[in-house]
Amino acid sequence: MSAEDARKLIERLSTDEAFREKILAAPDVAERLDLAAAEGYNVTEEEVASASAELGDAELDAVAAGAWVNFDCTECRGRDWP
Amino acid sequence: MRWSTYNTLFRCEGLGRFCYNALSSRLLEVDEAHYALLEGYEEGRAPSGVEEEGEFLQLLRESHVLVDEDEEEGILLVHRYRREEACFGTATLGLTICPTLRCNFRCPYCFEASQQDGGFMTAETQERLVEWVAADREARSLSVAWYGGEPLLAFDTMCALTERFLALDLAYEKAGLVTNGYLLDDDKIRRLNELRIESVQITLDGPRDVHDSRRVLAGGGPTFDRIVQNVEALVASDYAGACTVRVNLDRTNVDGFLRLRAELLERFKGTKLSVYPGHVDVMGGQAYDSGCCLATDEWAGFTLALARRHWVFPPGGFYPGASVRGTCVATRRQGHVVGPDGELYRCWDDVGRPSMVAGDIRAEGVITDPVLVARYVTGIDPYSDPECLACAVLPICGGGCAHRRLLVKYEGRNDIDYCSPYKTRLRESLEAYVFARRSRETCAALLRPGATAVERPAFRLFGAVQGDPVLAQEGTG
Repeated sequence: MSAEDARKLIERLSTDEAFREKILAAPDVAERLDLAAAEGYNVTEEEVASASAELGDAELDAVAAGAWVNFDCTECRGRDWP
Repeated sequence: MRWSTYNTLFRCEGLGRFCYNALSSRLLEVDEAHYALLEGYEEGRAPSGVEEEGEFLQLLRESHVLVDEDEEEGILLVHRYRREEACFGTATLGLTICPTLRCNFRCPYCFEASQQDGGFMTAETQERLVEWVAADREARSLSVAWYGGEPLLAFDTMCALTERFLALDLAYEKAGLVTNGYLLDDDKIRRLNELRIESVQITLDGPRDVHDSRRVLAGGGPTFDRIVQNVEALVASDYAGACTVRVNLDRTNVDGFLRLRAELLERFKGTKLSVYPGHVDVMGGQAYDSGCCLATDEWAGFTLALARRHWVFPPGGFYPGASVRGTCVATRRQGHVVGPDGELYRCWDDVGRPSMVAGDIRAEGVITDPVLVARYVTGIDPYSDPECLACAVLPICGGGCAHRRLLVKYEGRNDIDYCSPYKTRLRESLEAYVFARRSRETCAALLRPGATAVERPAFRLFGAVQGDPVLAQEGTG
């Protein structure tokens, strides 16, 4: 079990439609993770949730969009302050 | 009606088909049939059958994917208007205050020329600063960034000025603190909430061995362990604001970022600490070899690779939008960087450089170099630059860094690149955003009992910005 496995599972679920449908066909989360384990992804629900959090926050995206390249806080940081 | 020059049509392997428009900063997701229609428009032929797609056509028009002949010019004009509105808005006074330029560290890349000398803001200068703020009849709110030098060397000044600002007849909106963290002890941490400091940014240069080889005390000696102990105390305290660690990176220490991030996130698991990469980009004038700096495009490539390979996303993510006004403290009339002697600069990068002093709060009229102010606010306006006007990412880049534009335009520094990485990395940025958003949707479905599929309609707005930010924005006062 590892965060890396959780990332790989999410990545495959996001890009492989047949795999996604197979996993989501199970009605509850535990069964889905059992199916994923059978495919070689040994992850817990917490690890999936934790990996998801790494992807950032949709609300934040809407507020601070483009910050990374707009010479915003990561560059001069002067845009943090109106 | 024609295909906009600001469109990016792309397939994202396994994730779908998309069309992004930089004028509206909207991202549309489409199925294969609608993608084929868009390809037809891109190739300059109106596809057959589009009349039956009234709703889709309306979405394309609203998103400026399809435009009339003069439409793009009009929208660009609105962008320009919004920028000017932000530049000349008076409602919020944004001050970056350097209560001292002294620093207890000696970092090789520090851009400030005066770290070896200089004093602290005197009581008289503090008094004048408060009077100047109080005399601003147009400002309704005040925002403060504490900066330096090392601002915590002048913590008493921070406390005294905050107390005075809070007593003024304008809303003290928020404050933030940029510090090396070495002096952030328990006594200071306890006072952060009353100082209204909503964010503390602490800088490190890598894991202990790397950091301590670069970030040394003025008298010599390591700093890593004490800074991290202070971070530990901060995240364990009742401090209500955000705590971020910015890791300053150049060619010589970039490989240490992931190791430090992993160490910190493990050590401070379950806390609100965030760790992000910071681009060291000096433009000469100090002993540090600027060849160590990653160029803008290299930095963008590094950041995108962090996302793709390690799921490390920068603050704010990759979505190109919302920053349509493209302004910063340097380009806003009501933005000032205040030095310890009451001198005013436009940009954080100008601090400590006598030639870049734009004003003095002790002087009559305050602004002593109106030409410099005008250059920052008006002279480098990208909407007056033919090269920028011809660029497909102008609506989302805002013209890049104001400080760099100034150096290129007025000091002949043609070695400096001021353009936004969107110019060369737009599609990759969009793909990184799509990946993150799609993966979030997938996780949500996976962890929701009974969810059977991730919604994939024939077409929809996919981006974080769901409206038309250009036309819908309210004035800033």
